[in-house]
Amino acid sequence: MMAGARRLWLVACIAALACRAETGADRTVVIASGGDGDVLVPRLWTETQARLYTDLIFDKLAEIGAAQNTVGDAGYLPRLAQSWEWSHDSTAVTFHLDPRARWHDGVPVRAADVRIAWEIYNDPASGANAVDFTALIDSLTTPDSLTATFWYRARRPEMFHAIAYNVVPLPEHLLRGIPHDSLRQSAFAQHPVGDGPFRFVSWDKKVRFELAANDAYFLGRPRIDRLVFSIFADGSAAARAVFAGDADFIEVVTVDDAAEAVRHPEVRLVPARRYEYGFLEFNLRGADGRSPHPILGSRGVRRALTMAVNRAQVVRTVYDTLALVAFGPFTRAQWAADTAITPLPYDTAAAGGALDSLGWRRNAAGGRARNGRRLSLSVLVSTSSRPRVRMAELLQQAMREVGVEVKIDAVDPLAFRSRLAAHQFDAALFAWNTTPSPTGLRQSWTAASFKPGSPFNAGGYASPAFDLQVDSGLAAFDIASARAHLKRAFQAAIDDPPAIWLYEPRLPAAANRRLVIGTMPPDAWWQSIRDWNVIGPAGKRAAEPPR
Amino acid sequence: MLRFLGARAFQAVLVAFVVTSVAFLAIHLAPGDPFSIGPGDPPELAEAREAMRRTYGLDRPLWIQYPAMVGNLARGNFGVSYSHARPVSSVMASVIPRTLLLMGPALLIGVLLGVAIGTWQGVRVGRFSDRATSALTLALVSLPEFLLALMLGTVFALRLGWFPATGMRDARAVAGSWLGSIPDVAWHAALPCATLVIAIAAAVARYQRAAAAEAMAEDFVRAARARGASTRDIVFRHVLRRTTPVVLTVIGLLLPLLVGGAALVEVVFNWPGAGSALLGAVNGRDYPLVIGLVLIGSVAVSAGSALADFGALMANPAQRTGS
Repeated sequence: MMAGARRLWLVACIAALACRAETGADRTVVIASGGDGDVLVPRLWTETQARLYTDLIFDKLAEIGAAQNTVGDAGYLPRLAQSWEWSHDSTAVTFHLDPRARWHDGVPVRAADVRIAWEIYNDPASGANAVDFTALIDSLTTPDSLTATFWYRARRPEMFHAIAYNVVPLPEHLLRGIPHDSLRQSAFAQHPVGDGPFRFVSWDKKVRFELAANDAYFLGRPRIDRLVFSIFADGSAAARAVFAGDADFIEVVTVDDAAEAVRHPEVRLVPARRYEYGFLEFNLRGADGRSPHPILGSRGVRRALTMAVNRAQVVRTVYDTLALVAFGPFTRAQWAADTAITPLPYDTAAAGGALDSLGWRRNAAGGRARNGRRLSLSVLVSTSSRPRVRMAELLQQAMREVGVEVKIDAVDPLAFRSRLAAHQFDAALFAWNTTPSPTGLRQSWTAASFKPGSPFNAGGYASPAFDLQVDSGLAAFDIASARAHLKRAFQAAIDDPPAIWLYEPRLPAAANRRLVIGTMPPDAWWQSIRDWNVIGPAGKRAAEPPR
Repeated sequence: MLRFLGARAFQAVLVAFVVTSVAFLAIHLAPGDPFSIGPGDPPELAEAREAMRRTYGLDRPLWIQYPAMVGNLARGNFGVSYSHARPVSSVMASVIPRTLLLMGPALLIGVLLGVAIGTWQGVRVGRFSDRATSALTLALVSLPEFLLALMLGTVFALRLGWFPATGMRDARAVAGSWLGSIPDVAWHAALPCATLVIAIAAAVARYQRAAAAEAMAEDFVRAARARGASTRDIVFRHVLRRTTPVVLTVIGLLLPLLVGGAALVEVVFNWPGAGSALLGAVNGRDYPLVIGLVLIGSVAVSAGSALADFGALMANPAQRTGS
């Protein structure tokens, strides 16, 4: 009896191991992902992970280059368009499609596909989240099956970027009968046919998303065969999957996980530049949204609070070497970045003096008060980010040194969003993910972006000097002029701060050593996947560390 | 018997209604909106998200949404999950079997193991071996399931590499037959299942030990010993029969806790079951999915408790005859 049971167990073990061996060694790459998508049609998605999926399935007309320039077309790389040319007055751009480009079902990519995409994105009924084309583009003509000409209403510095970034051709032969308002719910939106380096294979929502290399990709077949996104509800579980060999890659790891990665010789950390900057945003408005905030409405108080914080120490304590101190409302990865601007110094004596001069006097308890009102603030922070909660604690300590009482208001992520959009906070600690284009400045910090129910410029910052320089910078056609204006804008946002500019995370990705990964573009790391390679078997003991 | 079943069915409906209503209120009153724009989202998503709010009727007041939800539930319509973009019934049909795949074997093995350990302890109450194992089971009962899960995962997946750390199947596996994937699923279920087995076994063993010790002190055991019965015979013929109702009642009481604990274990091991779906739905304010899963969970717990009570009733002749 016992011998029989042992034999049975042995057979089961061998079967299990055989099964593992069969599935392990191939050119499949598993990416541990913290989220899942919703709609697999470019610009119709509402989840950013879906953008990632569609960018792999569909190609753009042109791709932004390594310099991440968004003014004019300098540096852009041909994709579906093998070339383009401007009209003599630069109010039209003509794209010549690559005749080799094919949809995954074999049908050639043609100008009609550009036209239907433009019509869908331009139709409010489709619910597309593209830029407002009607304000930018007058019309589209398709003189022949391989040529598409966009006619602009007026010249704009980023007019090429707007098309290259937003107009992703869609298969006219598959979409022509589908009303635009039901496209999101269509079968195509769940099982798309694209023209990019990967084709759709299967999707088990919130579990697994699978793509396969497009063997007929006209710009060269990707070197990996299959790409599987394993979806995780918990970020630390996703990192554990990479450390255990269940997955090959995770786009970002926390400071703790980066330390854990060192224990796993088969895993390496991959440096990554990011378009993210973190800050403590001040609410400059009172509860009614019009009157100034009783404390933070004062420019002097905001400057004093900024000077009270040793930002370098805070960033170092929380992120070790995995973040840099932020300069202003931009990241170093953007072309508009300027690190020659002058930040406010860390000077607690000057901060205390400034508060004294503004009438906020020290009391016996070590705090400050003016006209019977205590100098007390709450800092809103999301519990989803442990580093930010830790950073809030450090800010609390730093401000206590100069007599400012800070209470930490840690709430769950959706409650945080809700409070931010309702402008119900004194100060909020968070980060923006921006894009290569500096247009995010206008969307996030100008007076026009302060709206009820919107999280953008939630503190109600309104600086005419800042707005003027941003508008001038975004309207400039040459980079040097744009940079000069934007530098003045950044300096204005430092001298009259809407926030304490805190950090730019440089959190790395983690990858199994079997993966050969090139430079990951900061705007869309996944664009590099088409160039990835695999040099060893999958699993925990996949590859020997380099000697 | 019919009266018993009828009463429990009525109770289950009542519990389901109350739990669903409380869940509706709690999740809607919690701050946050499933379609809000936040840090990390591009600004151009704002309009699309607002359109989604209108599509799902979230722009209507709660006093209109609530009766509509009750009416839909009464007709068996759970609505559409925002995060999965498909009917809640379809989502539940995917995730619940996966949870059962984990919970079923864990419950069976855990209960058998707990009964065995508890009985073994009950027979030797007061000895060193009893005191040592009692301390161990007490420690395990006190340990939250997710912590136990993290410990097992760290040791057996991350450090030793014996088992996968996450998932239900090898993500690299090519989709094949259901039968062919059994070894792979079993391999992936090993650690989450072991976590639940340990938690269940420790809890059951605590109660079983007390019941077995009490039974061992009864006159019928003394009489059996006097008749020359071995300890083994006494345990299998008398003690286990006596303690079965206790164990069944305990399982009924433990069921809600087990369901809650299993949810966290699923998250730690990224097991795509109902528990992780529920936590994800709560975090994402996916109202229809939360309510659907809470409703099914309350019905399952009610049914489980009723079954346990029924089992206890059947196992105890004295109760069955009403004496």
